Amino acid sequence: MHVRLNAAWPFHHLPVPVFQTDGNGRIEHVNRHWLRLLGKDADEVLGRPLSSFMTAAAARRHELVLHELVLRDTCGELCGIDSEFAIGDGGILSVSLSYSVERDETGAVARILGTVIDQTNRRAEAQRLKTIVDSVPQLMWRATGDGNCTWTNPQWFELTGQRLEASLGQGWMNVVNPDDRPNGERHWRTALRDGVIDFESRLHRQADGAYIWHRVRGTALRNADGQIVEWIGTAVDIHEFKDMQQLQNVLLGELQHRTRNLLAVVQAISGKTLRRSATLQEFATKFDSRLSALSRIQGLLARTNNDTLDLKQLVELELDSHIDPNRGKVEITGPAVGIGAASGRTLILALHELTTNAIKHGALGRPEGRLAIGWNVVTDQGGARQLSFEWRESGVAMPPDATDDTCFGFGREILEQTLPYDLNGSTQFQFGADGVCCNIQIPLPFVEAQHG
Amino acid sequence: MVDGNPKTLESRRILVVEDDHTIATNLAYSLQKLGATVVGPANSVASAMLLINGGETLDAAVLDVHLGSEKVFPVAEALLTRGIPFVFTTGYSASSIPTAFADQDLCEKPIDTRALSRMLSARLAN
Repeated sequence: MHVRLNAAWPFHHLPVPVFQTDGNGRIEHVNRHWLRLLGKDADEVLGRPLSSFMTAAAARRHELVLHELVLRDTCGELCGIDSEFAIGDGGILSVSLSYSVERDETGAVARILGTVIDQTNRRAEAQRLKTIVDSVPQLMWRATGDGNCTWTNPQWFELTGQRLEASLGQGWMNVVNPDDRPNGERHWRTALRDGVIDFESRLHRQADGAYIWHRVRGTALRNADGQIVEWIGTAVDIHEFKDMQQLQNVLLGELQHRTRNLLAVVQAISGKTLRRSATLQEFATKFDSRLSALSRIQGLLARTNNDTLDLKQLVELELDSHIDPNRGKVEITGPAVGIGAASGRTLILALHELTTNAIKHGALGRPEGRLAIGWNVVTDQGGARQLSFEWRESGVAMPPDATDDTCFGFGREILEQTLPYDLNGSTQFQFGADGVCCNIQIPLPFVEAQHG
Repeated sequence: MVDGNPKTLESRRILVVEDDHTIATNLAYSLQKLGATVVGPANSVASAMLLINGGETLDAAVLDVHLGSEKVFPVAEALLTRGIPFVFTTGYSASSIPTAFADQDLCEKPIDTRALSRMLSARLAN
């Protein structure tokens, strides 16, 4: 049987899907747009309940709607009711239904007219948006114009353990660190005036009870009159960023301090060298040489990443910068010992003086001279570890004026005063029969001094 | 260089607390050139306290803030109690000094001897 649609039905030509049922919800008329949307023929639908084409859940909702409409005294209308039609092979069509009821003179429901709007695209779009909102790492929130929370996304719950209902109104404040609440409230007060909000606050993380720094930002939505009607915003985890920022400040401060301190040492060495120099030429040579030793330790420090220097590396660095390491005049023996940065600077200055003096007056300045450098870590009865370092030159007939202060003055000051003062150590410096011998004792571990 | 400067610290006894020997002795030399007698230098809080409590007459002090792993503030506290003026020196920023000492002078490293001498003289004149 092929049933033709009634072209005389007043709504037949409306360019939207339209239907008409009797008072019991049975279809009396539909137009061709309606048939096309549902993919049906007229003979499949006329005389059958509208709800029979819906999914089970939508059908139940439809019955409730009808019930509601019928109970109302006058002509009733309900618009924008979400519904779903079952189409094709298990397909579902999402629609928005609007109903209008006409009553007869006795007040009974004579017919129900309605329109169907295809919501497939809109629902899919809404689903995509929901997926985005649910999957972004940011916490998101919405609030009323006066700043009362109306919604938080699942990420809010995941972090704070606070359910949506608990976060509403001012409830979200309960997971803000109490110390940060006054600041948050202050920002909200100005935000309600300015229409933007941006502040940092710590939120309670349920997993471990820690407070995690977040940057809270929001934008106001305004109505035509310019009044703020809603807020939409985010809260972004900036904890690691804050940590890095803090670390950077510490490092910058440390760099500044080390630079200033190094300049202070250079200033002091310049003064000391000047006071011991007879001529400007002597000053220039000695100051340049000492500055080079400081540069070497600075370079070595730049190549290490934990501020610890290897003693052997340090000794070789200084000697190799003055003499050919392959000449076999120097023997270096000792276990691996880590030296702190500030201690290393004092040590290299001491080694520098010993080396330059040995070249000028001692074992490194003559073919028959030999130098033995050795060290050990010894533990005393109290369990305290100590570095025992020896510099022993041999094959040197000491000149009669070797003990003259002008030759060894600055070097002996470094060895006998600076080393004990800076490193809490002790030094024995001797002119032996065949060369200089210097013993240095320094407690370990080196207190990694923060010279300030 | 301080040579030629008036002996602005003539006969003043000044405690030097500084853990770097090279800097400490150079500072001591500069102070001596200004006529001062240097007490110390001390490289730790303990050694500075020994000098303060050991009956040394002190007119003023120069205090390096960071002494190895410790800070000089107990020494500053002791000097405040005794009414002995002092000047901090540091390679760190002024923010490394507690607000309790906000009224004290700070001489950044490397030390400008003339600035330090002016600060000490002003404190001694009060």
